[in-house]
Amino acid sequence: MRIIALFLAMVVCLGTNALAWVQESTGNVSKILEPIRKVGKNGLGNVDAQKAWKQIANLSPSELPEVLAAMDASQPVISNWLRSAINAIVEKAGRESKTLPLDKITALVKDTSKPALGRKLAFEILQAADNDKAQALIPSFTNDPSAELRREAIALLIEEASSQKKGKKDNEAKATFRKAFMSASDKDQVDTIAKELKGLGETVDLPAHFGFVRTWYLVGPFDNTKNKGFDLPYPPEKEVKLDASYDGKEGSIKWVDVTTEDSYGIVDLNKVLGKKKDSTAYAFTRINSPADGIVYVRAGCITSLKIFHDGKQIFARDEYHHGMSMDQHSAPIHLKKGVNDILLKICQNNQTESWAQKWEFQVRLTDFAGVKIPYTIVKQEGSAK
Amino acid sequence: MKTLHKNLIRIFLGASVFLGIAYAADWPQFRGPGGSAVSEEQNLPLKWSTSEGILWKTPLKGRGLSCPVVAGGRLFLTSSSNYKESRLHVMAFDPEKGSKLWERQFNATGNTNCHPKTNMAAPTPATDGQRIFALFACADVAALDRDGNLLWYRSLALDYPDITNMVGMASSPVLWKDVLIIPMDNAGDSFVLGIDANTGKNLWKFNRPRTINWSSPLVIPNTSGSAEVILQTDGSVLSVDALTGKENWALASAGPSTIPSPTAGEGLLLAPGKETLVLSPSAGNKVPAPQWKSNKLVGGYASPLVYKGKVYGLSSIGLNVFDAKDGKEVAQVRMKGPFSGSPIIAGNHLYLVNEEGSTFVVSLGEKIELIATNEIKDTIQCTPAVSGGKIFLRSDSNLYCIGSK
Repeated sequence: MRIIALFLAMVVCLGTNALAWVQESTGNVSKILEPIRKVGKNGLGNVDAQKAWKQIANLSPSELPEVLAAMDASQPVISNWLRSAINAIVEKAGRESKTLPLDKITALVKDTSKPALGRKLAFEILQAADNDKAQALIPSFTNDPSAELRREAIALLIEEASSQKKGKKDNEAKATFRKAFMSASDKDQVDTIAKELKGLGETVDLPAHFGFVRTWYLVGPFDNTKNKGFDLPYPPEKEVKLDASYDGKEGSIKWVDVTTEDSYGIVDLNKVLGKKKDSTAYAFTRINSPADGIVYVRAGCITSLKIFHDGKQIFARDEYHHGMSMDQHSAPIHLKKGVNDILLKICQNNQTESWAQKWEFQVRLTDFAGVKIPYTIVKQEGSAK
Repeated sequence: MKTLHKNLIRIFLGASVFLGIAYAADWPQFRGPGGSAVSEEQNLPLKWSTSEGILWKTPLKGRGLSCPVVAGGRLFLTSSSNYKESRLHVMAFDPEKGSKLWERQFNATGNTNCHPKTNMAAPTPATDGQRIFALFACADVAALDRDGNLLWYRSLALDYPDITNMVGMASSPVLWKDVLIIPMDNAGDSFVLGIDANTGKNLWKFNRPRTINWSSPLVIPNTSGSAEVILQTDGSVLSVDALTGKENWALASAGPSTIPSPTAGEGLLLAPGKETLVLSPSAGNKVPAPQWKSNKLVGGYASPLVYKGKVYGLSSIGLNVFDAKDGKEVAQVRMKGPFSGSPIIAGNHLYLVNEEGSTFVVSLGEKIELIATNEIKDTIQCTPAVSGGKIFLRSDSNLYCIGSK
């Protein structure tokens, strides 16, 4: 009885540290994570998660792999609770000169079935603790499902190829750059590699590499005076009929087809539809997918944009002339095997500044990590030319 | 009884130090105490260079335009790193030694697109010395205690998916008692939130125009136990109650703009912009009365300040000084820009840092004159912080402490 009383007194005196120790000793990390997993929108679950966070932060370093494996990109807020707690565990281990379970952490990095976020953080912990061991893993990330780990491998390949080029070993450099190009997905790395390959006399097909949709049917202008067109569902939002004529802003309008030759799949509406202000245009494409799955529609657009998949709106952003960059917008869709329709609504406002005249967009289809997915364009017969 | 009373006072004072309750020498938020950009610190360094006067210099992970904040014996700072600025950092340093005490990282949950000059760590965090509240341009908010324990986390981008600013957000939060005021003016769903600092839950939400705005709120405590949250954007300045989020008053005017922030001092409220409005707050919820206005306080990114009967602000030539009573221009000091940060005053000297890392020191005695130009040749896009007899400068890649042991 005295022993129990003493133990309880210790728990009271040591506070959460002692409680964490008690929980840790059960090995039930999953249970400690529960309140964090219940965190929701608008601050839901924050108070309970706050207590759980301290317990996680006080876990033994030996529990790191389990906490790392719980980080999942599909739950970004929960992952941030865990990431910061992992930072605390590692810092504390450093202060107390405790050993990190580097073998288990390495195994987690290598296990591509585990969530990418946790594996990348595991890699960073390994890098800080044993950089040589971490560096040795990098070449294996060339086709890793984690975009962040793959980026490490591509950077290494670029370095290797640059060194080969500097040593006048052009054929080796071409092969290494080509290997890097095949796996790269981040724009800055792809651009660097493409420039080097072109300099070495090689050809590169950037739109194909990125998976840009190059062929579109366009119709416009519809009215967008006072930016009201963004929320006005013009006929193409109800049904796409490529042989239809519509009452447009300046008279009757028809669909026209266009295939962009731009390296980054940019479709310039000013060129196809004429330089219009206070206007709305639609772009339509039909693709054939060889498989079912979650796919990301990634778009760049300098003006307001809506995206529809098979008639359902999946993205809307009402913002004009604040910059355009590849993949600045992203929306997941469930692409079905076979035919899928993608419709865009691209609005232009009435700003007169020279930098506010562009009216253009680019769209590509990728997996979660930003790698293009396979698809073919379904050419529509009988459409207006 | 007297002994008990004295002991209680001692306990209170001791607890104040221990708990890190904000005191005059703290620099707890964007533009320091109360957003005034004025510190009560005295005898601060006047001259330094890359080879002398720098007490410590610490390399930083990631970039940031956010200013250091100092309270409770700790300096807190944010930065962002990685491809597309996706990694967010909150760090605590020992202000005496420059050693990092802890660092917590997060992944951006909102859109990280922005102009290349800025990044996700543009808003300056707010602290009371016990807690640190870090807002990032991707609309992520992290609340931590002084030891780096996470108190709560909010993804405003997931809570309000229509938030959008492809140029990059930069308005800073303000902490008033247990209400964290989060500005979120943008091209999409725009609002200011009053968040419970302890739980991270909304106390109130005040809807705002769907317009990009980089101006930060100003909090002015009032006599009724609450405070006024002053908000400005292009074409208006208004006041919201800090406890309820209800509008107190609003003033439409073409003067205020979307980059500099409102400031107050000596019974005046300044709403800077194309034509800076100088207002005299009224009792109750009445619209403040205009005192004077000026188009010579167009500071670009910089916000003006009020100190000892004068208003200091930037113009295209450098520093402009006005009589606070009537707006009469009393001095000009030429300085080489460009300036991304704002001027601050401490120890009767004004400090202003340009983007090349040159700090201009202006004496504010009888004669207002430039007395030193201190160069450290590093890119600086934020406002200095002052605490404990030291000046803290944050560059793109380093944190500097100017001072002596």
